[in-house]
Amino acid sequence: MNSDINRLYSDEEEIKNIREIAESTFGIKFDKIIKSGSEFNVLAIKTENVLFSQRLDSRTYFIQDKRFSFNRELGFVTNDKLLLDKCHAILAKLNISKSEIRKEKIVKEKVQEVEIDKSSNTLKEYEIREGQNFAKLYRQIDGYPVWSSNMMLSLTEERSIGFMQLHWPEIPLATIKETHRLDYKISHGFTLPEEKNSYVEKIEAGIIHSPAMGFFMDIYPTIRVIFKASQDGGKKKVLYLDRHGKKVPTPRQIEKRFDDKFQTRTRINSK
Amino acid sequence: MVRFSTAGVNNYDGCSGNDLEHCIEQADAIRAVYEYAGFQGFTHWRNGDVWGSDFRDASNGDLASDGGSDIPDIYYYSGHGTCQNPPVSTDPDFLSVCGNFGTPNRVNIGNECRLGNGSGNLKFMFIDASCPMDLISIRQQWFPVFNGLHMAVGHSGTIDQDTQDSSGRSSSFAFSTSGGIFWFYPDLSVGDAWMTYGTEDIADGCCAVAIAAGSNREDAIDRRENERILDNRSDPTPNWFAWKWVCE
Repeated sequence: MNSDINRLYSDEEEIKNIREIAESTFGIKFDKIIKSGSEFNVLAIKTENVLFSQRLDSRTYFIQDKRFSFNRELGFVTNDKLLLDKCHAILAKLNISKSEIRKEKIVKEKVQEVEIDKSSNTLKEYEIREGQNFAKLYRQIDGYPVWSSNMMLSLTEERSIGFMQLHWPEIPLATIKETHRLDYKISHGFTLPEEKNSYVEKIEAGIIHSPAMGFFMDIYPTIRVIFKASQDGGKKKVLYLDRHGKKVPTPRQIEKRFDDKFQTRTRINSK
Repeated sequence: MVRFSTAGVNNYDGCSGNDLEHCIEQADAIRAVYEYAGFQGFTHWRNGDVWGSDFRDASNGDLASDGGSDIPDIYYYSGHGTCQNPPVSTDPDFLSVCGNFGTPNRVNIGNECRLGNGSGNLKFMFIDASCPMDLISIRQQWFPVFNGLHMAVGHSGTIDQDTQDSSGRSSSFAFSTSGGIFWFYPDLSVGDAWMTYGTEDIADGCCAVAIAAGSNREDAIDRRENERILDNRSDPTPNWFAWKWVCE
């Protein structure tokens, strides 16, 4: 490999590239850098106030400005259009088609405080106020939800990014094709699993993958089945199944360094 | 050294409620991340070894040396709760386990849980269940729980607008609250982390809720917005409560 090509893959070039992405695509302004480099599967630049990081195995980016949010120095923006326009601009710069946006909304935090008046044993309520807002985008490919992908973005009052997670990995064509097949199978002979004390609330084909924060990137086409409890209003069970009705592996996040399979609890207290 | 416990219940055979699929995975993910971050594991019970008595103040069940929820600094629970449809202000919030001991399995949070009192140590209670922190009844249910506890997180909903048995929610929450060892990920306060990741895999209309106690209004707000696990703040005197929520 000649030295020019070699240089393209140097540590210095890598940091230079990520900085260019941060500045040109996301509008990050870096102050004094205190740490940069890669660890695990992430490449990052950190200053006193700003973090920008990118996964090496996925189209995944994180931004955090410590001065952002409720009651902090740079505050936050509550303008829905500004938030969504910023998201769209970023996706366009990354060549992500708008057709992959399944749904978008502005999530509005609410905050409230109450004082306990101990002398009268009463509560003094304060009004509900708006907290920080963030845009949240959900993904689809060929009309199928990619449940594990998302974009979350908030802006400071200076219109810079206060917080962002963009987790939008490239999905293999084979996965997309299989998702089409799974959708076909749902209405052509797929046997729904039976679960005690619950019934199927929803069934659909889609794609799951490992979360944004984690050291693996597993991607699976799947049939997602959501169950509703028949009684007692418990948590909704969710199964992710393959074309044979078998469970797909749960996308990995971090390696477990423990195995307590055979531990059981001694009943030392009599109740 | 921060100590933490995790509890995950998938198996409800013979108990009230359907079996779940991902609660143990979720509890394991919290454990894996926090142990990597250097937190010290206290107990990690699963299925029938998670007991209702672990959450009860009565008879010091929550101080049981083999699994009481008020012993460590952090306690994470993933399993069933119980939703009303819809809840009213006098309705209780619940945790519902399927224990092989320490019954009854259903814990009325407002009546039975008192965290941080006496020799209790718990600072952060993380509950991943159905409707354990309904907004309409948060005062009656959760104010009495705080007796030294700093913060709690959960969900508010109904039978239809409910928490789903997620496969990814907890690990993101753990990474972002693990105190900065993962310097390349955002380091969030407990409240911000739950607002960001607590809405993953919940039905439309369900809300992620985070509540903090404080000695005065500024303290309560500061904790709600900024308290991190490694802050090492003193226990608050619960004169004020500050909470926040986001809804899907």
